[in-house]
Amino acid sequence: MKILRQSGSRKYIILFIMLCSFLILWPNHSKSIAASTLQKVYDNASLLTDEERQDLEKMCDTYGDSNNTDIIIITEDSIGNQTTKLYLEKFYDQNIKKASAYDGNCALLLITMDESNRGFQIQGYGDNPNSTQYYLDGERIDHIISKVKPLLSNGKYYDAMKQYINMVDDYVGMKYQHIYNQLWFQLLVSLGIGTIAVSIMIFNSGGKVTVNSGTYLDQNHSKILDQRDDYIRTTITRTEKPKNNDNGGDSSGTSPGGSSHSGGGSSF
Amino acid sequence: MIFDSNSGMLTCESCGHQENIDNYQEKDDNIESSSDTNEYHCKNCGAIIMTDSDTSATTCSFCGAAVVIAERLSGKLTPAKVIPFKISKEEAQIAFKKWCKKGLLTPKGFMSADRIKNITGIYVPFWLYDLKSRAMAEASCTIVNTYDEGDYIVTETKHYNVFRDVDLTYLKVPVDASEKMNNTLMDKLEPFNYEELKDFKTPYLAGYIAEKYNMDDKELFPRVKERVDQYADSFLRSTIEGYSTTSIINEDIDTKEVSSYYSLFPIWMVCYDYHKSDHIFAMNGQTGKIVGNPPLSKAKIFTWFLGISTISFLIINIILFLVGGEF
Repeated sequence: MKILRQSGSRKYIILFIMLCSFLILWPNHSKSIAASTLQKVYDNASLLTDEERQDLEKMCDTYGDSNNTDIIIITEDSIGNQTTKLYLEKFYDQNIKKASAYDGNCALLLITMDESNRGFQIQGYGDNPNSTQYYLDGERIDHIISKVKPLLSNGKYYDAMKQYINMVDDYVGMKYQHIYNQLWFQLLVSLGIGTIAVSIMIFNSGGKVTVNSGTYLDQNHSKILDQRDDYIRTTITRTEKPKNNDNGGDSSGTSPGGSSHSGGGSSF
Repeated sequence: MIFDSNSGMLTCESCGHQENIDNYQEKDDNIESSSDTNEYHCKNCGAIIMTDSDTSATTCSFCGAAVVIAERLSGKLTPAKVIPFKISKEEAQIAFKKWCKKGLLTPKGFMSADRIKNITGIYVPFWLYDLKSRAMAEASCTIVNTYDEGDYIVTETKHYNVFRDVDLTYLKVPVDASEKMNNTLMDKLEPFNYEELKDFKTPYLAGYIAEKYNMDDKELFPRVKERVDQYADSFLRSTIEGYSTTSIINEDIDTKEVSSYYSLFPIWMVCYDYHKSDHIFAMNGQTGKIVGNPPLSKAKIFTWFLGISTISFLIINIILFLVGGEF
């Protein structure tokens, strides 16, 4: 090649410039692979104006990408006989599972305007320990429902959807206030372990007792003279299994395609 | 001549002549007793030896000869058995030093050389009891089974009345018979190896201090009974197996003495006063086991506490991080 025939130092300068330009271009190339190309807002019930829909689409893209998840909103006039839960599970299996840029992580919102049966359902998917399914647990989804429901009831669909996107953005990545995460608890446990360890050391500092109840026992001249194990009676107690409250509270489960998810929903 | 723990024989330190104790004939030893029971004269040098009322053998503080107070070792005060010293004074000193160095909480510089010089070999009086214990127990036991049945969780509890009657024999349970010696400390030195338990012969005491008992086997019986009752209770409970819960309703343990042996056991003792508090250490002169209450360095305790707490804290956080905080 012509470049290689150049004299000494020039050759290296040119190669160096080629390498730099390649490196500068490369990150852009990989960045576009990571970003999601899925459509985010599926307004089949025409609840939004074009402007609102584009606005929400952009919001979902931005907030979703920054959280490495797909935030999706679906509206339908009717979903027939199937439950909102099954609808979203199928949606996930068909549209997201294979095309996901984020390993299946996503948050789904379905709003159905069935006359007698208006309702909405939220689900979170993802399998690794820090997935969207993990961050949107039953309690948090219930909280989103409580904020979104009044807006939907008042016909403020655009506001309701914005509320949903904001809350998902908040929750994904937010550590749980488990007691184990609290500093005071961790300090208490560590100091407790320290105290117990040192107490054992102090207790043993003087030497341990090394005889037990069998040390002086003469096995050859010890025996059981008599034993009885008499069965008297059996008592049986039955307790009802705690039922899952089926007012639509906790609708976590697994999609037909085998993907587990968290979930919850309500009518409005 | 003194008893040499390495050879197990009576040894003359000057000429090396050794005599086997098993063949030794008991005879009047190096003592001349007077009517004053606490004052004796050393036959070797004539010096007056002051002892307390329990000492039965010692060394003359003037000439170093072994001194045996025959009248405190005769009649009903004659020991039946003895375990001779197996560990020599030098070996004991080395072992004590090592033990202290190993202590995780002992202050530095404890047990320095000059203190260890005050190590004393004592034959401590013990009563060994052979006992028979008849123990009976009635217990109410259950086996619990839980399973699912449709919409219900079923708990099935089977109740049993359980009865056990056992006859137990305990051999040579030791109890220290000297009021002076701390009971807990002596208990911790157990077990002694009874294969080396020999019939008593006075020469074993040569070169060591020996004490006679000041509580006889009847007086000490309650202590050994309390101990053996516990062993019997433990045995009873171990025979009731396979139940989810066991609660003993009635228990009757009857422990009786079959025979008792007055024995002398070898113990190396070091008394150490460190920073104005007494610390006593004892070593089983046959097995080498050491017990005692060493001083505890506050600085070391604090350092260990801090170190372990910090490491636990780090481990907790590492685990939480790996699991992703998921519970």
